[in-house]
Amino acid sequence: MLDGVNPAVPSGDAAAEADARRHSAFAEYVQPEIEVLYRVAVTLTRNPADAEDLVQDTLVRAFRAADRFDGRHPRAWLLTILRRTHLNRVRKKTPSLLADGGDAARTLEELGPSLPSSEEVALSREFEPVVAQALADLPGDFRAVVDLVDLQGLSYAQAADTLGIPKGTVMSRLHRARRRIRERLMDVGLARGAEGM
Amino acid sequence: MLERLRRRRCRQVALVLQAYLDGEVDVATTRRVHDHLETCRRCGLEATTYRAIKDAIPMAASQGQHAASPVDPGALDRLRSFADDLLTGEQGESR
Repeated sequence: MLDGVNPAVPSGDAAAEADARRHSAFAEYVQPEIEVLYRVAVTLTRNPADAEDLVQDTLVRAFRAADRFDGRHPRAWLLTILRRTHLNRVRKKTPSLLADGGDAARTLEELGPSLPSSEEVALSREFEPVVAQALADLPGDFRAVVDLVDLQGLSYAQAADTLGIPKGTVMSRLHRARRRIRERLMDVGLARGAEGM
Repeated sequence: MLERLRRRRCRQVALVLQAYLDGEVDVATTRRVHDHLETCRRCGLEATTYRAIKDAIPMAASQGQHAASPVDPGALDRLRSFADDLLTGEQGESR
């Protein structure tokens, strides 16, 4: 943040304009997506009550950010906020299971806020159908790790405990699963390879 | 020389990128990787791609379930009221 300037609290006309933009964007882009948000939240939390809380948190974050949303791909924007909010909630609930007590996850959150960039929103929306097919084609043991870490938001250690396998195996299966998904995206020209990496 | 150093840093970052994106590396590594991603376009793009894959996974995983599973209409009504309250200022800053 700039010294002495809080962009979240503009003054006078600017504040009124931002407020009006926030309200109209929320009504136009967010409210029509509540059912989709709830359905995905049920998938993520596997619990209707937790899903409702998660959607409420997502709505609050989306409301606060709505005046800065560019209006492109609202569903992908909201679902990304939902996923990141879910991960933050899971990690806050189980800090003892995180590497170094959650400091790294907190630092990551400080360095990269839970609101996605418009580039990430556009990409994830483009990726979705290919990712769906790639997920369906993953071997069962790879898919189980992706479900636990990327859907349920468990830490590597927690996923390892759940599956009864070493943490190193969780990491290697997860990373190989994501590489396979990435290769599928490359096959259809949606992602580039990283030469020499 | 500088190019060699940069390449070495890129390889080091590639080794921990997934764990970094999952919040599974220590604070010092998190900051080091973050700083590198800010200045190296190629690694920055790599991170953006994997972040987008991670973001697409819940949407992709829930695709097949939308048509099949009925949702609790009470929950949807409560969420719609909650959203209406955000617009009228009765929610939001209290959370």
